[in-house]
Formats: sequence, structure tokens, C-alpha cells
Amino acid sequence: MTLADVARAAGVHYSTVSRALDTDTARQVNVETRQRVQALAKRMGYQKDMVASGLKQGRTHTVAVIAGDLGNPNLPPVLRGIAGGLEQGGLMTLISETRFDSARLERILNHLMSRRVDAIIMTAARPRDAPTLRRIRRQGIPLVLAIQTVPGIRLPACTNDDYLGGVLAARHLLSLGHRRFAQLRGPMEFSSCFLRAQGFSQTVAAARAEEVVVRSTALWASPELGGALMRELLDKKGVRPTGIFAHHDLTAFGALTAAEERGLTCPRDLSIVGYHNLPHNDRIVPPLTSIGQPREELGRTAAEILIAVLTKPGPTPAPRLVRPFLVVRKSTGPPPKAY
Amino acid sequence: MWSGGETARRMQRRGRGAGGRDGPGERTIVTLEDVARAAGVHYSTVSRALDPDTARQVNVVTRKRVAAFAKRMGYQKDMVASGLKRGRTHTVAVVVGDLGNPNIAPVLRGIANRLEPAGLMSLICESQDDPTRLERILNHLLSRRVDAVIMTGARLGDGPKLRRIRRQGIPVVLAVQNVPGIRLPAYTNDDDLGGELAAQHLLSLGHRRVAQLRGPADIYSCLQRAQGFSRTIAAAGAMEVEVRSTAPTGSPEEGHRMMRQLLDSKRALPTGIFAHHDLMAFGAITAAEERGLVCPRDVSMIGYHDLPHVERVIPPLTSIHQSREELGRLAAEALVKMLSSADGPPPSRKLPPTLVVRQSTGPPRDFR
Repeated sequence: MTLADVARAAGVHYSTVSRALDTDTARQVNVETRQRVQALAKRMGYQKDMVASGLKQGRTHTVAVIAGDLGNPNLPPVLRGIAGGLEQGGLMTLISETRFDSARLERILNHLMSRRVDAIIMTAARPRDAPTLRRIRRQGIPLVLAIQTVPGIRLPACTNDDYLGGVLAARHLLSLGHRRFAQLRGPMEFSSCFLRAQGFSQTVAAARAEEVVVRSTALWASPELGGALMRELLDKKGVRPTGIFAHHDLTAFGALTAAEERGLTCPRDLSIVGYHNLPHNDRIVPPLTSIGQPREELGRTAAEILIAVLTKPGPTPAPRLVRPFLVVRKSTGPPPKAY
Repeated sequence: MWSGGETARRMQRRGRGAGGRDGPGERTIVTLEDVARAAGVHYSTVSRALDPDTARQVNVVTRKRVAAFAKRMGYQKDMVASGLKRGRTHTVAVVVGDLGNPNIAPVLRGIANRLEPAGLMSLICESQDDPTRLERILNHLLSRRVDAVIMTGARLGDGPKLRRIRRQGIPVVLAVQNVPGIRLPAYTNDDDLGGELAAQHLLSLGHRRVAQLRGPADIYSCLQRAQGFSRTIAAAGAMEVEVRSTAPTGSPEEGHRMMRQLLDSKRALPTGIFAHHDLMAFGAITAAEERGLVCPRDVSMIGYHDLPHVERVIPPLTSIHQSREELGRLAAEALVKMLSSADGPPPSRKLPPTLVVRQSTGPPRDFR
């Protein structure tokens, strides 16, 4: 369905159709013709060719959002917040998944640039991606980081205050009387996990309590990897930690199962704090204490920043931090008496 | 590498960030002409050198030099513009109803895994199960020139919208959800069989009074589940108590609400309940517990989808398992065929689900 098809049906020149359908020029066409053309265009299902008009005006009204792992239940609410916020600005959201593969990220970015997206929101940035991100920025495509940030890259960013999340988890366990801790960490190249770990470790150290280090980290948020980390911890020699901080609820689920397999009961023998406060944490056994964060709010804030960048050229907006909160359920309690 | 305060401080330093430089229209896109100028050749030589179909027309030395310049300068072919000329953009749009549905990520992965080796990129759009938003998305996709559309969350009312896309010559493949009578290739689970498996399981445990907590009435897979279940129950001469309302979303809240309707009804409570979604089953169990009922002693509950951690809930949930990644792969496979050959669309396929028995189902109370 082209402009010419509508013109033929309406019995007018195609430039008249073009003018009648463009809000900027519609007044140049007399009311009767304009209304007839608009009605016909609608009936015939004519779509203004945004590709061609994007080529002329230099805007495609499309924003690409790059996700690492769409299977992470933490992500969809953030994406919804982004899409909702961008919609307000008349922008359409397209989502791509990298699965944390640098080669795929490169392919995706090249593809997006060749489609001339107006801007990109990156939710899975790692330090190793910095050169790629800098290249995009050099080409003049506005780029906003969400969820994950990269040190020194000087891009607008909106993240959760993950450092505070780690602090909250440590304080909760300390207040219950735990003195020996461990973390089941996510990848340290993610700012979110690095900062969670740092907030936790520094709070534990400041209280002169002890932290046992599990060297491995879980690349994916999955119960299987959580189970593996927990087994690594339980296989260690020495006194077993009683306060455990898992960087993801799914990791915590797997850790609970692994602990049960060794005859340990939560929270009698050990306490576990998860992260993300996933919807059915209250139905698992035991209901999981977790750190929650306003996910849609994070997405909406990222969209706001992007719209600001697109509409008001100026200095890079300051990074925004969204505050997490502690939700206490039944997976945490005082340590066993022997401790 | 990282430090909380320092990262924030660094980020706060107002530098020449993206926002600082990139007002609309200031974009510095490297064009064919820029590469030509740098390499000292005519732009048509650059064009030929960078197109795999024509690269052989350019001598090796020039070709390599042009390719090196293009890479160094960050040149990207304008796929949309060349799409206008050649009618291909190597992009497939995947439309999703609800990205928060834990079933969908593996389907998307199956799709991407098959499209990538065919040189196609999948871009995902979420309709949030809103028909107006879907309309906007489809219009946008048409005007943004995608090669094809994979629709994973079609509802019964979406037929006309999808047919309109098809009429514009854009191949459409349905995945996960079919629309009856639409005559588009569809790759779905056999949901009628899923309902039948749920009913057979409850019947085999001795249940004679059952009910369904149904999903939306405009989603074909839920209609099929309901149909397979009801038919099997009726054929066994057992009794199905009808819950009139349906759940607009597969959430614990909806399961809770519908279970309350059953519990508040004056009729005897069914002993076996089939929820069309695991999350609804969770909510229904909670509602039963609030009335002092124990699952499976007082009421058996069977869910659908076999979500990843249903084995960690109490009681571990009996559910219907279906293939997800394979479904995505089949849909993408069909699409690749449609794009590369002029034959008619490949045949639709239905994959059989399986029953996973855990501890939320048992014999009815009066049966013991």
C-alpha cells in the first residue's frame, strides 16, 4: 500500500496525499479533500513509510533496548518501565538479547546502527564492552546505561543502589547475631554484583565479623549454578558460615536445595538472603528473605533520561540511583546456639 | 575495578558524554562517500568492494584497503535504505504478549538460535497483551520494513491485524498461540492433549468432582486446554463444576480470586482442580490454605507450564510440561524456508506436552 495507491483511489495527485497526511502540511489541502484522503488512507490500511521519512528527517522514533538474559525474571518489569516511559515520548522500543556474548553484542549494535535507531538503552554493559560502547557514542548515537554501569565511561546511567543492597543484607544478618558469612556471587564484571559484594563485605568487615570467600561466581541467574556454589562452600574445610547472601533469588533457591541435600535446614542451621524479591518468594520453602528494588521505576527513569538526552542537548545528566529495600521472610533467623 | 562512591562521582563529572554532543541532527554517521574519500577511490568502488555479491569485481588490493578503511572508520551500510532498494532488511520482528511470562524466554532463544545462522536478526516487541499497543507495534513494523514477523502471543481477535500484514506481502508465522481459521503456519503445543493429560491424571487418582481455573477466553491455547479437559471428564461420566470467570493474566492473584469463588459457592467443593497456569495454581493453593484446607489432602491441584522452580514450592506442583525452545526453533525454521523459497508455507506442527507428577495431587479425601 503506497502513497500512489491512495492517490489513485482518491483521484488526486500523490503529493496532495502526502501533504494531507502530514500534520505539518495538512492545512495546505482544502478540508474536504483532506478528510476524504485521510478516510481512504485509513480504510486502505496505508502506513506512512517511516523508513523513507526517517531518511529525510533523520529520525526513526525507534529506541533499541539491549538485554543480557531475557530469562532473568528481574528484567521484564524494567523493560516494561522503559517501554512505558518511551511511549510517552512517542518512541517505539525494540529489544535485543546478547546472552552476554560480546560477538553477538557487536553484531546487534551494527545491525541497530544500520537500522538507524534513534538511541540505545544498554542494560547489560560490562567493562569489556566499553570500547564498543565508546565507538557507538562516537558515531553520535545517544546511549543510556540501565541496571549495569561501567566505570569511567561517562554515559548517562540509571542503576539500583546495589552497594546499599549489600549493606542491607549484611546488617540484617548481623542484627540476628551471625558472625560468619559467605556470599554466592554473580559475575564480578557486572557493576550490580560487584557493588553488592562490596557493600556486603565492607559492612561485615566493619563489624569485625568473618567472611569465607567462595571463589566461583554464577554467570547466569539459575538454581543449578546456585546449587554448585553452595556445594563449593559446604566442601570447604573449617567452620561453616551461618549467614549467606546470594546475589539472586534463583541462586538462593538452588543453594537451599543443595543445603538440604547435606542435611542442613534453613533457617535453623543457616540463614539465606536473596536478591530481587521475585514474585513467588513467599510460596517457596522457607519463604525467602530478599532485597527488593523498584524495577519499573528504574526502567521509567532510564526512559526519562533518554528522552531528556534526545530533546535537550546539554551536559551528560547525572547518574541516578534507585533505592533497594529489605523484605524479611522466614529464610533468616538467629544462628544455631553452638555458634 | 569498581567502587561505589567513585563510580558515582566519575559519572557525575560533566564530560563530553553522549548527551553533551548528540543533539538531534548532529549525528556523525560515516557514509560511503567518507570511506571513498579516505581510500581515494570512487564511491561506487566502495559500494562494490563492500557488497559480497560484487566484491570480486574490485581488485584484491583495493578491496582489502577499502574494507580496512570501512572497518576503521566505523562505516555501517544503511540497511534501511538498501532495504528500500532491494526489499530486504535481514530483520525479523518477534512480537511477544508478555515478556514477564517465564515461558517466553526459551522460545525467543530457540527463534534467535535458528535465525542467526541464516543471517537474520530478531528484534523483540512487547504488546503487553494490549490490542491497541499491538496495532501500534504492527504499524510501526510495517513502516520500518522488517522481512517477516513471528507472532508469539496472538489472541483470537488479532486475525484481521495479522491478515493485513500478510496481505502487505510480509511473511507471518505464529508460535505458541494459534488463531483458528487464520491459515498461517503455526507452531504450538498440543494444548488439547495437555488438558486431556490433566483430566486423566485426576481421574486415575479417583477424583469424580473437578473444576478448572481457566485462562483468558480469547487465547486459543487456553480454550484448547479447557476443551481437552472437559471432554475427558465428561467421557468418564465425572462431574465438572464450572467457574464462570476466566483469568485475564496467569497470576497468583487471579488464581486466588477464582479459587475463592469456588470456596464461597454453596455447592460441594471439587476435589481436583486444574489451573491453566502454575502461577494461578500457587494463588489457588494459598486461597485453600486460608480456609484451613490442605493440598493435596483436601484438594488436589495441577498446574500448567512446569515453571523452573515449581519443585521448590510447597507442595511441589504437579504440572504439564511443554517444549519451548524447540517451538521457537520450528517457527524460525519455517520462516527461513518461507523467505528463501517460493513454495507455499511449510505445514503447521503441534508438539505433545507431558505430565510431571509431583506432590500437589493425590487421591480425594473420601476415596481413602
